[in-house]
Amino acid sequence: MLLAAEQTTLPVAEARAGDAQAWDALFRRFQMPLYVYIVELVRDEQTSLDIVQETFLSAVRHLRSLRNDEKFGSWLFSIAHQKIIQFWRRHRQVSFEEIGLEQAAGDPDPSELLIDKENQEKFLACLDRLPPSQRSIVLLHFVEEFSLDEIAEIAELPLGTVKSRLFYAKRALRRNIRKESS
Amino acid sequence: MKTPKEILFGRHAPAEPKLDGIRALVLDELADPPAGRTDERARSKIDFVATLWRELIAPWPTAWAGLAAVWAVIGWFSWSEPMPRAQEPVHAQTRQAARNVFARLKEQRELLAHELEWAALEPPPSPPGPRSEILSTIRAV
Repeated sequence: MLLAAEQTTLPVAEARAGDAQAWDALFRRFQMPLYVYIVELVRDEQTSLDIVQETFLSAVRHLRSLRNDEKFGSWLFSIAHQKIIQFWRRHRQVSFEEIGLEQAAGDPDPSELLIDKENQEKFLACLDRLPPSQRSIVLLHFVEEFSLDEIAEIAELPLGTVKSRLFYAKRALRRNIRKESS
Repeated sequence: MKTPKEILFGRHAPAEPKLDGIRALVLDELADPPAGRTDERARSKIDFVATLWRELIAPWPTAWAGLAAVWAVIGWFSWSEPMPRAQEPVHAQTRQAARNVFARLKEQRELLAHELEWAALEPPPSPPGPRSEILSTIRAV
């Protein structure tokens, strides 16, 4: 789990000054979570690697536009999110169906869903079956443990929509895992 | 027991070396930009056009093709059709008005010439005689 202290020590200011080591540290920190988020949505390894590279290059070019250094992580993911949407548009894979705006309980804990060894494959299969709109939210929640506000910012969605999508996605995951187990 | 994050990271762990490669590539570019910083503006313009193409044109090729076809048909109609009939009388009227003006002008010119001709036939006014003659005339009256 990413600690708040870890986030504040990210060398964003140094990276802005053009320090290559700072960039290396930032990329090293985010490359895997970013890749997991992208590949789970795009489902193509090479395209996902390309998007990771494009995201890094965009970050280098546009870091000056980032106002709050503490939000580097969510800013980087929002760049990747935009690139995924562009990919979906190009390939017409997007299906952003709305699933209502019911409010779920407040900020949930990503680690509340603990999965035993037997159910790990089932979890991944169930995750694959989620619609992209829900999968995107649930991945941001699981992979980088972003808060609901941060997810809303990254996905450019109202907070209520994020809450409801996360609630329905987790419920669907639990149900499907249970169903497959029985 | 594992968290979803651990499961997902485990699933994609084999991609780690490739990600390291990408990181090295981006850092190389950061240290030594391929076309130099001076070309950044030109590159951003190209990026803008490329983005415009990617975002606006490429996602809806049929829509743009349809729009182009509609414009082609409109263009074809506007070029192949003769001058709209509604404009013909206006054109003819203009031509007629010009003819009338020329006719009136010709008439005026002839009248002027005629007047000048009459003026040429009339005897010029005789210059006044000597003052003694004028005085005798006055006395006789």
